[in-house]
Amino acid sequence: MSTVDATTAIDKGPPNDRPGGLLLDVRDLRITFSTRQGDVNAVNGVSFDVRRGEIVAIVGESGCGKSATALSLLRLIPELPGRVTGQILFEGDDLYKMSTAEIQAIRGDRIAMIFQEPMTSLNPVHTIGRQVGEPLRVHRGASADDALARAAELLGGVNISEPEIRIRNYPHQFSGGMRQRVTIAMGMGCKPDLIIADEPTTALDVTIQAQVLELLCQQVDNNHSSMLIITHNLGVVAQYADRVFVMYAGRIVESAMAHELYSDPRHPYTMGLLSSVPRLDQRATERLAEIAGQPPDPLKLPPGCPFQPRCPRAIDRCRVEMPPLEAVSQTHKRACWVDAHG
Amino acid sequence: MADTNSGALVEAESLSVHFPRHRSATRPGIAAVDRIDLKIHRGEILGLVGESGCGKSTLARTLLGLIEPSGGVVRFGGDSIGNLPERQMRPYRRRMQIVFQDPYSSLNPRMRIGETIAEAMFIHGHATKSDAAPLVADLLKLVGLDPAMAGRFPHEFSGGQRQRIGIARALAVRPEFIACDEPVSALDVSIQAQIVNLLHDLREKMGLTFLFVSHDLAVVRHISDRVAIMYLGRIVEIAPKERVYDEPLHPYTQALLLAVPVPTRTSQKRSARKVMQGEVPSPLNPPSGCHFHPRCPHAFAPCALKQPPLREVATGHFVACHLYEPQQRSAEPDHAEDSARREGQTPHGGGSQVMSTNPGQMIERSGEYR
Amino acid sequence: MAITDVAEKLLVPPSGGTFAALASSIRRHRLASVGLIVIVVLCLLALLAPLIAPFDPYHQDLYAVLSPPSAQHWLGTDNLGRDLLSRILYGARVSLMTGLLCTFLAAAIGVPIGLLAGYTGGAMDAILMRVTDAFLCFPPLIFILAMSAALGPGLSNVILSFALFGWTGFARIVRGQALLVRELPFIEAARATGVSRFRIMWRHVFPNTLAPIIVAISITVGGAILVESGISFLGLGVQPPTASWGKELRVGFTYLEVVPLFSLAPGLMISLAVLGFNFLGDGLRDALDPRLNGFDR
Ligand SMILES: Nc1ncnc2c1ncn2[C@@H]1O[C@H](COP(=O)(O)OP(=O)(O)OP(=O)(O)O)[C@@H](O)[C@H]1O
Ligand SMILES: Nc1ncnc2c1ncn2[C@@H]1O[C@H](COP(=O)(O)OP(=O)(O)OP(=O)(O)O)[C@@H](O)[C@H]1O
Ligand code: SF4
Ligand SMILES: [Mg+2]
Ligand SMILES: [Mg+2]
Repeated sequence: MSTVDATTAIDKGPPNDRPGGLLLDVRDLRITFSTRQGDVNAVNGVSFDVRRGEIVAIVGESGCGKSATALSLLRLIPELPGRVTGQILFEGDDLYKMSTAEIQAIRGDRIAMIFQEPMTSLNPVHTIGRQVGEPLRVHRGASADDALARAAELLGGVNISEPEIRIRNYPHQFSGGMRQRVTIAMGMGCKPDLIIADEPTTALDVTIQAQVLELLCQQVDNNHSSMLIITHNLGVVAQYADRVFVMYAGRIVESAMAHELYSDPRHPYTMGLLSSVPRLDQRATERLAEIAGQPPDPLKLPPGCPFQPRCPRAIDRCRVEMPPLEAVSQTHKRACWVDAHG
Repeated sequence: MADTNSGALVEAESLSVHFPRHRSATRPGIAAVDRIDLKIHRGEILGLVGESGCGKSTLARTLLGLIEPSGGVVRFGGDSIGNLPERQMRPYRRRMQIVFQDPYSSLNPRMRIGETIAEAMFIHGHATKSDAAPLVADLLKLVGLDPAMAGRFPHEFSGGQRQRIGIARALAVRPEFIACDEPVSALDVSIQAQIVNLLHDLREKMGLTFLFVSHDLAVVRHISDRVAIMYLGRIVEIAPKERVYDEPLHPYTQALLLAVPVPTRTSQKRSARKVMQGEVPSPLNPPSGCHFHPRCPHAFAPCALKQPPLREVATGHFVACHLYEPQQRSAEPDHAEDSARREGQTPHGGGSQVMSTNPGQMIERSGEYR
Repeated sequence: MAITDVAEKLLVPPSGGTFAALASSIRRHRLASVGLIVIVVLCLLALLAPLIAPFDPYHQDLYAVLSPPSAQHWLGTDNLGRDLLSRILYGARVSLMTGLLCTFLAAAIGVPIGLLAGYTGGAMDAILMRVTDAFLCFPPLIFILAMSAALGPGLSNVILSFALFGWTGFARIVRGQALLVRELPFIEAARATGVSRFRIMWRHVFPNTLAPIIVAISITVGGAILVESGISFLGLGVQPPTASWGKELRVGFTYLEVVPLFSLAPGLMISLAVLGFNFLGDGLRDALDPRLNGFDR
């Protein structure tokens, strides 16, 4: 076992104009799912932190463990196939040492989760209004009527038209993007300290996406709360995030301030990612640039750097030894043996 | 691209779909799809974009015969399929497929994904129980998944992996036409590129026809031949992609293109996007006249009164907007041109793009476009 | 009724395997595990009766009728001098078997009807549900009694009549669940693939109604045991010399003052079994609530 992310040390560097107390601190998180084929190592030693008032983004390959990381923050990884180790400190308290009642009091109230696939968090047999109002009833003791009225307000906030009528609909009567907005409204109800948003805007068109993200950012600003946003949309990252973590095969391979990542990516995977983005401000080419090859099988990760089989710059060392996450500047780290520049 | 009538594989004629507003409602409901005319030619990739909730999924599902139209006709390969009972629909099922928007809920939670994909093959006789396994493995590899995953249940996958399972299931039937409802929304850009290239190859090599619904305008530009823009149940613009992106005519299309986030760090954060203002309209209670008029920067008198028809203003370029209605222009030429000039902003050419269409070019023919 | 409420909540539990999910949730739920243990012990006793029963349950010893518990006859003997413990062990086979058979037969009628009504909807649904309602109008116990009486006494008639009147519960639960499941996108996905209606019901809808069916089965078995006991108590169920708990209870009842254990012991067994199945059912119901399930570690 190579010593990878010994990066538990908190980099206290980045200039941040907002109060930067540590809100969430994740240390050496590992998540394993046991399946019939063997153990799937979904997350392999991830450490990161989120400061108060900050918007942190996680980007990365499909299946690299982003959602698993997010779910583990609220102890939502099912016990049966899943195993979580490491420390998750929320305001200094280890979430995994709390009682069930304590963690339930935090879920949906202090930390809200916006799930990747809206249908997983919506109950098909209850009305939208009831479900959006639910956290308010549970955590704020709101009456059924108050909760419903507030639900309509929240839905209006995420641009659902005629919310007073729409609260009587069931999830299947909403479009994909509307359901996604419902889960966002649900997450914002209790004004949480930390919003974990797992691909919150994938099903939204650009204008509504912009409005919804704006709304989320306003919440962050107004309540001095923070947001951990997982997204594939590098445009969204560029526009809204303060810091970015790039994940690959269950590891963080690069972390940087958002602008640094775009101007000076240091990991070959990040570079590949940035060059695969289809952009409107460039001419369309025949084929989109892809990163050649397939992501590694989490059942049998290659020795050395997990990106090595696909990496255009790989050297011999990459095949045998895992690169540690090393600082290239005060705010910028990457895990790569080659001193690569974009 | 075939320009003839016979080239249309999928066709909608004045297609409408209405949903009740809620369970016990008797008042008129939501017109999710409102008198749409559309043709998708054989071998074509038609991009479909539009605001969330404007009826894109409903349109796609209706074209596939999964929702009964409330009015109008759907044709597939020339045969009307709109109201066919399920049994008579089955021969068509093998020829057309859909990739659903929500990958998780469109997979049976109790079935291993290998079974789900194999089921699609059995039903249409593309495989038997004994030889399905290698075919399933091939399909999984094609969409970038590990064939060893065939024995897993849907909840054991990541969001992007499930989305690719949905694509594999659609391909398993070997259809002629696939409606892809946001098929790459949950994929990171690199795998997204692989899938988009895969669809492109399928079209090139096997002549597949696609309806490609997406919110990612860059991907749509990349993959499509033509692009249709929907707003509140209606198609407001449809044209070859170069025209849509270089010369968008409808004010909504223009607003949409302006709002695309660009993956470069701009100096001032969170202000680079010009976000459209105004209330999001309600499909329960659509605005009068042009549905877009309350949010439209160019709206003028007739906009609130009369719904503009979809009219061909240049070869193959259709738009439904009073700015391009010849009568309106002669009636109120100054107002229309002024407002367009004053406020018209397009992403690629500055303020005068709206006017770049020579009025003389406008063809009186309305409705039909091919 | 509570069960349909549960059925709603059970819609598509997050896990793939019903039984794996059930097993793990039972383990977590104390009442359910108690119920399960009771049931397993009772079933074992019944299965192993020939091995563990100290006497032949039909062997009469007319010199030792109604004897109190002794080292030889742990629970004493009945009015014909047969060993009560052995009779109760053998009676467990009859009573449990009847309970299970009744339930499975009822489920076998009710589930397909419910599936058909719920998935097809429309006129079919209306007709099938009116029929179900018609059956529900009859007070079941009285009808089972009447039918048993009409068909003549005997266990198979009890089972038949129970199934004939007990399926409605299953039909309603399954219909309710099917109504919800058919709105889910994966059903539409199956239709889009071209899966036939029958196969959709069988392969896609049915597995997703399993969880509430299992809860219902568990609770119904308890009820069926009670019904069998009642009917046997009235003399219409099992015929002598076969033993069943209800039958023992009936005979023992006559001698309640002489040897109280004669009726208490079978009565206790009935209560144990019924409670066991109900605990299990209740526990499953709570534990399978998807909003709680899997969310805690
Ligand atoms: N319950 C489970 N059992 C087995 N494997 C699982 C389970 N849940 C997730 N995995 C696996 O763990 C890995 C990480 O999954 P995760 O959902 O975190 O990915 P992700 O980064 O969110 O990807 P995406 O961008 O596609 O949503 C995947 O390879 C997935 O197949
Ligand atoms: N089964 C239904 N019952 C009632 N209303 C429905 C139903 N399905 C869709 N609708 C409504 O029809 C409208 C269009 O929905 P549709 O799913 O087609 O939108 P969409 O364009 O796909 O949006 P998105 O981009 O958010 O997926 C929405 O207002 C939605 O609420
Ligand atoms: S018709 Fe009028 S309101 Fe509608 S888009 Fe054109 S100018 Fe705007
Ligand atoms: Mg994910
Ligand atoms: Mg949709």
